[in-house]
Amino acid sequence: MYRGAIYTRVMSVRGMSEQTLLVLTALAEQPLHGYAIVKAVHELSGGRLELRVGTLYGVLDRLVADGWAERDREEVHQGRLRRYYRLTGDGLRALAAEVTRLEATVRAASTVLRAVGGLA
Amino acid sequence: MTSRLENRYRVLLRALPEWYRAEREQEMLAVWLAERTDELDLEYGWPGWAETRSLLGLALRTRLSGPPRSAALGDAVRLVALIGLLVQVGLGTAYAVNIVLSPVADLLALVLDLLLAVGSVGALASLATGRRVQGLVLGLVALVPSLLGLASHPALWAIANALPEWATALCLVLGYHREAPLPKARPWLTATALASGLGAAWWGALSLLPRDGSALWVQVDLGVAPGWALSLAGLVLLVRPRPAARLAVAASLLLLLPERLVLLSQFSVVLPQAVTMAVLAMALGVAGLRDLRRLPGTPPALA
Repeated sequence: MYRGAIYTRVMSVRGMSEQTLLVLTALAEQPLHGYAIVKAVHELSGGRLELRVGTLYGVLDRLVADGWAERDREEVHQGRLRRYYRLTGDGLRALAAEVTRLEATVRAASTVLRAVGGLA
Repeated sequence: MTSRLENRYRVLLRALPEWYRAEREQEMLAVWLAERTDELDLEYGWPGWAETRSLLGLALRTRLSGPPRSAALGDAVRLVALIGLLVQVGLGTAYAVNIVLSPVADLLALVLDLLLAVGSVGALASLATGRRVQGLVLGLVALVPSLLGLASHPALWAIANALPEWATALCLVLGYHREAPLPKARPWLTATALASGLGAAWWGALSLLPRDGSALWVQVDLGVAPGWALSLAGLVLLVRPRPAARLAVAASLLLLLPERLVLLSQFSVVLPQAVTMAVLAMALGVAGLRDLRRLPGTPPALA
């Protein structure tokens, strides 16, 4: 956990990146392999985010190092390796904590917007 | 049969460390090639720029953090950047004080020297207080005087003077990637204040001497201070085995050496310092590399 500890501390202060949040969300539903995660993140972001391979594995490395995700199983599909990842209990709790934090932020912003008439 | 496109991806993957490639190469290829099934694409297609950039970013992060050997290398790169910024703080402050105390007002020179000092102080303070991007931007702002100086005087001495600042900026950008650990606030903020105070005091005291280009002047010239300070740190590190610090001080000494050598061509009085710096840089470099090789090159889980 040489790197994980540092990253966890940073994330607890600043909140997690959108990519990390969406990868965690994708894995919360079911164990997925790399390509399936890329597609799930694309869908979850409404087509806005295209996760590149370097970014995807950077995120997965950190999640595994932090104990938020772990390897599930391996399959060979059309001659190629597919390694599945699943969320751990800690990962699920981290996702829930981030969602709670984001909801509080959205509530605060909505209150201000309503007050100035910017939100119906 | 392996397609040409797959081979091109495999070449790109060579940017990653060997241990990482052994672990991930197959699944990464599977993601890349999942949607690229067209025969023409498999024959003539290339990895896109966005994919290439993203993979090079991952390669940089895995080579400068992660297993103990990569982490130590990353620490060394970051330390070279911090040492370079401290030197810039001292020199920038000293130059600015020199201009303020000078009877002839040179506003442009004052602005440029202040840019070097303020940019470097800002970069160090930002990094030490958790503002990574701001630190990188200010670190690059501090490079502007060097760029302008080099553009107006593209001479050997100007290149030798600019070298440490360029290397500092490069190490800053490479070392302080998104996941890099940031420096501790208290020691680095203290060091920044000290470097600034020493720079001001040094030049304040020197302004009492006539600047006549004499051998005496060269002995107490500003470039002397960081060289001796690093040599002192180097002597301590010869008996204290800290791989990252050894490598960083060795690299910093080597970066300051060309300026001393250019000066040596005119003033032999610089010789003892130049020799000390060169010898210490070599000794620390060899010891640091030996230390580095002893550290595990793969993460504990894969070893």
